[in-house]
Amino acid sequence: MRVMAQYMKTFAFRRAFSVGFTVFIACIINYYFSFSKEAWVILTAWLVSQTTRGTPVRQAVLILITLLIAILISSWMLVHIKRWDVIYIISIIPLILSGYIAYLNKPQENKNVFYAILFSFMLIFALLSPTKTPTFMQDRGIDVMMGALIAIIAKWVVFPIHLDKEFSAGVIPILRSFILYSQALTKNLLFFNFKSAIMLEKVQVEVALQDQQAMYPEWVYEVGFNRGLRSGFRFFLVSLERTSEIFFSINFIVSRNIDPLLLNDMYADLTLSMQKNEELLTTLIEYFEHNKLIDTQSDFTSDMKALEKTLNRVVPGNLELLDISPSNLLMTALVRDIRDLRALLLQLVMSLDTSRRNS
Amino acid sequence: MEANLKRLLYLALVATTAFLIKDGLDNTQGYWLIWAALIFSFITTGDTFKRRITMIVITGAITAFTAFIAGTFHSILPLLAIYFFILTFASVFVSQTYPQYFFQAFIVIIFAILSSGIPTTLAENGERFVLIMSGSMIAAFFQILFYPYFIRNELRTHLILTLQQLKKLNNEIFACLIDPAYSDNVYLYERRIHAQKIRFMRAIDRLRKIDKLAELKLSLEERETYQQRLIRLDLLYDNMLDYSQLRRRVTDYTTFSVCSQELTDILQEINTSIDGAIARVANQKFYSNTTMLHEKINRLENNYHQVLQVAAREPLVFLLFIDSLNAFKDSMDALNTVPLPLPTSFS
Repeated sequence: MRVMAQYMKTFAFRRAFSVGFTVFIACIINYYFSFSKEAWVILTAWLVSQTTRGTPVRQAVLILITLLIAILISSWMLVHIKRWDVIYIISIIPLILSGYIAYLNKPQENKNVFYAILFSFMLIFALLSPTKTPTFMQDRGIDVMMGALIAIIAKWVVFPIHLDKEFSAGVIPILRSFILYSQALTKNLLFFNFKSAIMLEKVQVEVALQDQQAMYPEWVYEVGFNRGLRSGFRFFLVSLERTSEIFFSINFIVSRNIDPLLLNDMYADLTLSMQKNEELLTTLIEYFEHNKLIDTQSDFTSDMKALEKTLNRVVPGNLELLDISPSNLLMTALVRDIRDLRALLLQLVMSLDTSRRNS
Repeated sequence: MEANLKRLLYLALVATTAFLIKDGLDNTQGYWLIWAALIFSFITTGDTFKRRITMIVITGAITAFTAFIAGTFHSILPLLAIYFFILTFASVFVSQTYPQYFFQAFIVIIFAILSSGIPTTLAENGERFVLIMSGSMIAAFFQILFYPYFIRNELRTHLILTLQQLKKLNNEIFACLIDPAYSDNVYLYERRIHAQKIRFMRAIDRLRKIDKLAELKLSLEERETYQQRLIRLDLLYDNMLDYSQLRRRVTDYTTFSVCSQELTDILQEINTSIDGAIARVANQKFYSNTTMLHEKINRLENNYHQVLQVAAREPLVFLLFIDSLNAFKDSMDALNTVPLPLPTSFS
């Protein structure tokens, strides 16, 4: 039962139930109240319920407009163009073009491509579906608007989206993947192997950063997103992006084979600093998972001071000397990345709501 | 034939054939054949020829079956409503859990909905089933266009796509360094970098999957060259993100105005060297190398020694930037030494 309850809390289940229920209601409404006597109420309700979490109403309106334009154009063509071969040719062209453009630019990346494909398909459906009423244009238009209204209301009523929970669900996998990646990097500092666990963890970070494959809250960036939450959420996501860049930068530096003797001298300090960074990531995960900010007694500055002190001891600080020594420069770059990472993570932790502090 | 042109030809052939067959059949429900052929032609899931055909045929069968059921229930409201609830729940759940099958789930639902809205007799419903299956067969049949060198073409196409995305990412990164508006519009520029990074990650992810499939058909030597190529691409991306750190480390953005010409030149030469790598993959005879890039990086280095070391608040960050650029140049040279794939892989 607990497993079932956990399952029912997943986004996939809630969304599937919400859309299923929307179509269920639309089906009943279509049966009794449809003007065109076709399936436009159900079709529209289903299409409009496919919106993302960020700006559902805005996207619903765009889908509605796309459908209405397709119905308008198809109705005009059916009334004014008597030759079916001409209608076929005109209707194929947008479909072929949108299919070709979709092949070049995936619709998930470019919403305009999605609307172009939607328009092309709806135009063909509207043209070729047998019409049942003399005023089919108006009737289809009314049905489409009814379907859109059903979907918009259902989105607010059936498993409505809680943006803070969705955001947490999207961010936690990224933070976890950072910790595992950091651990893999630390373990392989002395011996970098392309085929080792580092590559596996790196791919997991990449997966976590993509909305297609994970729950990355891409919807935060949508135009028209909730103004009250926008700046905070976007700041966090931009910071996470920067964190991932620093990790990939560290990966790159380590892959360039730093002098093993240098690494040996600095290994203990490097490892401690990376572990402290992982601690900060864990703090962030605890906050998003359990809504509590752990009051840690850890010191996040003395390890960085020790690291820089060791660096100054083993590597010349003079820029001219650094310039002529690739290995020293690499080590300097590595320490700089770790320092930047620390600053970024501290900034993120400090930006959390401290009223939820828990010892 | 160029992969993009093949795609255009494929779509045109499917559409024309569907319309011609529909006219030939002279069936009042012939539009189902057209809808099915056109919509199934959009399926591109499946990294081998067999998988793609299988995907189209299976989707066609499921679609035809669900449309048949919806057509049968169209006048029995309780059954129809419950059927749609279950079908929609299942398809949305599948598309959320396995995003690569989103479009197939989309097709199944759309046909079921359309079928419920066009009432018909049981016999005509059966005809509808056959027409939808036939439409999917037309879409599957013309996939034959892609059969020759399927995997090699997929690999080459996605390799070129990945390099193109890398070039666009480079443009966005250098925009932060060259455009004076960056400091006042940080969010906008970072958003563009994020969007481009996602495109690159998707492209290289697809390339990894196709590469894994190709391994089954390649010799040990060929497998190693593809592996090398992937590793090099991955490192180029990391390298780019490494030198992009400059945009955050420089606190006084006016410093960039001192070296903006050098940065612009380097941007152009990096793009030229990536274009050169693309031309090489596309088997073109002439392609540019990294000689000019090396020259432009040296010019920036001279600027660093003469001006930036004094003008910049933190000259060290520029030194790290130049070192990263030199590493990028070396990585591009290494990428260009990886042997090109031989035309030995069939589907």
